[in-house]
Amino acid sequence: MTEPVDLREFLAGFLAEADEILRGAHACLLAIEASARKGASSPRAVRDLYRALHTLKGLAGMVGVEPIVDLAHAMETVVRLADRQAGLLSTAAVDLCLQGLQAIEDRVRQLAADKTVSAAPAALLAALAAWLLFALPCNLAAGNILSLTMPYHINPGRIAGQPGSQSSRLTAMLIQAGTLAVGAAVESLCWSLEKQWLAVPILLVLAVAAFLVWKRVLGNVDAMALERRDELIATLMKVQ
Amino acid sequence: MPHLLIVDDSKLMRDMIAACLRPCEGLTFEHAASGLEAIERLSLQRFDLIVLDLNMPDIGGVEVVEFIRGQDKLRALPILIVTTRGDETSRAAVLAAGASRYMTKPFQPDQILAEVRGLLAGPGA
Repeated sequence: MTEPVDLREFLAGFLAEADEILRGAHACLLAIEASARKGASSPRAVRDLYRALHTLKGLAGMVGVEPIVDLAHAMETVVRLADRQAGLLSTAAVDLCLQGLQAIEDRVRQLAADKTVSAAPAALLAALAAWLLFALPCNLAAGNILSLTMPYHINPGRIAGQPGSQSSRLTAMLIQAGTLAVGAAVESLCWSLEKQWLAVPILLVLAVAAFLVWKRVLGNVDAMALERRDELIATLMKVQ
Repeated sequence: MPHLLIVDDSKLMRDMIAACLRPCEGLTFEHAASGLEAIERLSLQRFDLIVLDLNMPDIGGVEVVEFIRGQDKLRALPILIVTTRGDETSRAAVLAAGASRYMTKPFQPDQILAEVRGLLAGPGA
């Protein structure tokens, strides 16, 4: 009978593929950064970056390198949000992701040198999580309002590429750009003061404020829907 | 002799899956690196089971499942989804599209082995 496989046998293969994925991810981030400096989005590069991080997380999990799983997962969550918002990723978020990639590269090198892999840097994970905690309720609140003010029919099985209302998309992009601008301003300020840790409490305070706004929006959704009921039904019937 | 199609954009992941299934004697494998390549292979050859990732560069796993379930000659093909996406939305979407089983990465070799054996044995086994 054949012996069960030990997936650590694939460590050499992991190192080679991780190196390739990291080079691709780096190129994506540079393209995103160049677009962000011009105030433009880069949906293709954001999608490719998301896929690269997702693949890396899966492979690292299979060979049991948890610090790389943690880093890739934190970055993937931030990039996925950008992917869902037309590929907008601020320069501050790009900086965080570049730090994340560097941290992953360091750990890949440790693994290649047969050294103990360091745990994922807590400060970086906290910064990524704080950014996300702030951005998420902003986008959820915007999504709730937009779904009532500029509705379009959504098939949950096929959300990607759904031909939605152009004005709804444009407004969603503008709201996301505003969210990113606030996050970027906070991160940039803290970076310029060389107090990167300060971004975490500031973003957490903003996250609480954004969450309260979202909660308030949720509380008013029924009333808003009732007020716009006839218009909503007419629009949804027309778009279907 | 059961013939499997392993679909994942990572060559390393395809090799790992094949290695995990090594104890299941008699299996033969083919690999596809994208959803489009999978569809091409499925159109040309007969397989007994497909192990399918969701996140791929051209056509995603959900679309491949929809393609399979839309073809008369492929409708009964067992589909095992193996993905890093552990969220309920992804799971519900791909099972609703017609996937047979769903498992998340990372997995233990024994887990995928048991899933593949179960699917090859058929629903009445």
